Amino acid sequence: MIKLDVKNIIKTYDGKEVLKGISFEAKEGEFVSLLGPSGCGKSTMLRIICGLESPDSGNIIVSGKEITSEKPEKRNIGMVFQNYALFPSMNVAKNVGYGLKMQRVPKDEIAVRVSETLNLVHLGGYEKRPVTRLSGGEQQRVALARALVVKPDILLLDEPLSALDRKIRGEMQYEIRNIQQKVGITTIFVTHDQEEALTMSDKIILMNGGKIEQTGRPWDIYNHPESNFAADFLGKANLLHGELQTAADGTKVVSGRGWKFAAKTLLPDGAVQIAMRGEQFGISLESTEQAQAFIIRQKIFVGTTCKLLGTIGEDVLEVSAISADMEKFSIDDTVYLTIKPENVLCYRED
Amino acid sequence: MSKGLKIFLKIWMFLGFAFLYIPILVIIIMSFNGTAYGMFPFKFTLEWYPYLFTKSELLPAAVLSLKFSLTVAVSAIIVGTMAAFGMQSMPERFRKGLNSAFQLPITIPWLVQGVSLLLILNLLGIGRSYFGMFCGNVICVLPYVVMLVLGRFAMADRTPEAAARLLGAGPVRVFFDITFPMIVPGVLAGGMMAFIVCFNSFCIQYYLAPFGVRTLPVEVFTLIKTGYKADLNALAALMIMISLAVILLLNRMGYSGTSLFAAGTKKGKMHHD
Amino acid sequence: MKKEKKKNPFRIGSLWAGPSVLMLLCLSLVPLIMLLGFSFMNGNIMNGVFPGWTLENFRKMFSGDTFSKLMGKSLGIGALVTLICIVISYPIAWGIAKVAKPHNRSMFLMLIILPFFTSQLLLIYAMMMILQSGGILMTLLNKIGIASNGTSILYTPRAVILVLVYEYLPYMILCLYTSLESIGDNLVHASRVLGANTFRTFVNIVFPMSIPGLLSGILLVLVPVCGSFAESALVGGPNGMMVGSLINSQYNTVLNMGYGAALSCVFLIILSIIMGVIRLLVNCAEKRIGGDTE
Repeated sequence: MIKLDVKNIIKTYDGKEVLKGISFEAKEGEFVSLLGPSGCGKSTMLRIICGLESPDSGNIIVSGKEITSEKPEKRNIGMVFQNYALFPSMNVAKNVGYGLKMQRVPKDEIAVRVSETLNLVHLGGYEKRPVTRLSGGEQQRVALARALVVKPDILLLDEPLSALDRKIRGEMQYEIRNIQQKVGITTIFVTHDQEEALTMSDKIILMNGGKIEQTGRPWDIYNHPESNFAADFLGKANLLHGELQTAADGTKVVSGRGWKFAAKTLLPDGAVQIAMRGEQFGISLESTEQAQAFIIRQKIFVGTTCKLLGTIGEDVLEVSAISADMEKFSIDDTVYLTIKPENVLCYRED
Repeated sequence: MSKGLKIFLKIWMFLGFAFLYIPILVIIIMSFNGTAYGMFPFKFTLEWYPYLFTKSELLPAAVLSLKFSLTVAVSAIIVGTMAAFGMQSMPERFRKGLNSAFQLPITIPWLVQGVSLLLILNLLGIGRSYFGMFCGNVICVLPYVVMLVLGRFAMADRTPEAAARLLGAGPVRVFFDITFPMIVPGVLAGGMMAFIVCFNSFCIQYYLAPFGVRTLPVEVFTLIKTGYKADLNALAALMIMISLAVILLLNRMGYSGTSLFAAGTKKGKMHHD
Repeated sequence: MKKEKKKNPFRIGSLWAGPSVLMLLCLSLVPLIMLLGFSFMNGNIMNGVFPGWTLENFRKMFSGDTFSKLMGKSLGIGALVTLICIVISYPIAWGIAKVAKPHNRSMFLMLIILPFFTSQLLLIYAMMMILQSGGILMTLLNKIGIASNGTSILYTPRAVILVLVYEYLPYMILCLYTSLESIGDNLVHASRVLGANTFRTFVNIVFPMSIPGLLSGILLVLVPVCGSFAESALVGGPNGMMVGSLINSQYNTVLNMGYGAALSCVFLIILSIIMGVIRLLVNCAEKRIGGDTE
């Protein structure tokens, strides 16, 4: 069942088109991420959905009802802001219960529901605390509880984790996802961090410059990016220029400056740009037929992996190896790289 | 920074503060001096203080100033807060322009402000009057209130208001539950500034007060000109103490000397460019 | 089909600013504009009766040299007071900003701002107490032998300058302080490390960055000082008259309000021009200095 239907939203700010006709859907219970670089319009899209901004044209439909011209206070949409936006003059219970108070829910019921929701976000017993004394992570959970307790149709999250430090961020990613699945609420999550989107989402909508670049499940987008923007944005990709040629037996090969890779693509022959992920190379100390010679110039230890920067032919390449293998490779060594043809992604030069 | 320079600065600072405070301290000390005209020899006495509260001419003037300044401050708070709130809904350029316009009464010499207002009032037939004096003082303290409340708005996080709306609160509720608690320090500080500036404001009251009505500054002026009364020292000492208390209070509220000063002068305008 | 919604940038909430705008117009803007009109007035307005138009006021102002002399004197005193304040304030402001321990700073600032909250008259009075013959200062100077008994600098132009400096010093200190405080400590250190001595550090680094504060300070001191009349009335004596006193007498003694209006107008115009020129000069200086350090 389609819970949220966004139809062709156009928004202009000061003469600049920020959203150029965005359309997408979210099913009931789905976790959808709006992913993109800063300025791509994703936060604006969120604000339009909840009514804090109005689009120049287009429609927002929730559960089949058109809400494009409804006031924010009437939309029954929950939102968690980037800086949490808790009410400083109230304690945790009053913050969380505010929406219920607006709905004129009786006091006892408010207390019960607040207590339940606080338990849900693992903040049981925090009712009386002043919100100004909470840590970042705790504030964030209060914000989440406050949005969820009123049982909204949709939950919107505007880069809620960007203010947290890395470790807590990782934990909160799982927590938010778990809570969302428990409650079963349709969620739109805005972020510029591709790892976050890949971890948490059922569906990713990749945005760039006010347009949707690609929509799909995390695995699909990551492995089959349809543009070099998508390839480069989701995970680091090596982007090289080459010439695509079809051999007599039908196989396609891309040749560049001193290197050659077999590729699987439907593009016709000609100049192409290829994208290859650093972790998809096989590294061997021995030369084989398809392998390309790679001279290591730099070794960088990153923790779980080790990055090898070097040259194939005249181009620069970054290859990932597991740290355990780090000892095998030294600077100025020549190693041999192989990669599966389907992992050599080809794009028309633009 | 070299030692010599530090010592030089410390001495200079000491002299500067001494210069600023010796006259004030002298007054306070002289308020306990029994000799007339504050001359030597020094005879310690407490008589001036009770005199101040009972038989002095300064007392009615002080009470009048108090009541008057309170009225002016309250009015300025109401109008000024409304103004700051209204200005939030305006486009950026207009808001900046209006902000600069509000500086006008304190940019021009108060002499000119008072005089021009007097002329208009005369033309309208109202002339010197409580109403005129009220208007003159309100317009002169309004900029302080507006600037302090606007300052509060500027540094406040506005997203809780959006959050409240999404939780179902209408505009009125948002204002009372969220916005107003947020700006209260600014309103209070503005009110205090308005009160003090009006209480001390000599120029405007001199020109617009009805004949025979003497607010404290005017009374003090006349007394200084025509004769000396020792209870003036006592009054000065008291007023200095009260000002000190107010400053301490404002400091407690989080307003440092500079933020108050910046609000109360055109300095805020400079940094908006 | 694109919905053509004409966006009105003013939301309904702006109406709340209405009363204040109204007040501003009626009590400040309109009177100022009408001041110009009143300059052509003949004598006084009493009880709503308008006395009639005349050019006499302006003729009077520009024929004799009373006005120009007084204007010149006021500007001179204004400039002198401002200069003295600047010289005294720089070390003090710098000291509070950089030398004083941080937890002492707010105390110093409070001490500086206290006179700001005290009635100007009380400050004048305090100075008078010190300066009067037989008072502290004179007694002291007498003992040292500088001044003779029975005299005092009270009731002279010197007293006016002294009192004005006393009144406006806090303004200048606070303005400079705000600017100087924002100069990062590292900048001075960097300058010393690169070999500049104190003087050159001041001229090249500190002074340019303090210009905004300096400008505010100048404006805050110059304008009221030029327009002051209470100080000259109380401590100026026969030679201490300033433009402000002249204007004041039109309203309280001589009762020629038209002339007073004309004086006020011209005074305001001259002052605005000077302020504008100062602002321009300082902006130029800022740009040039900004350009040099590029």
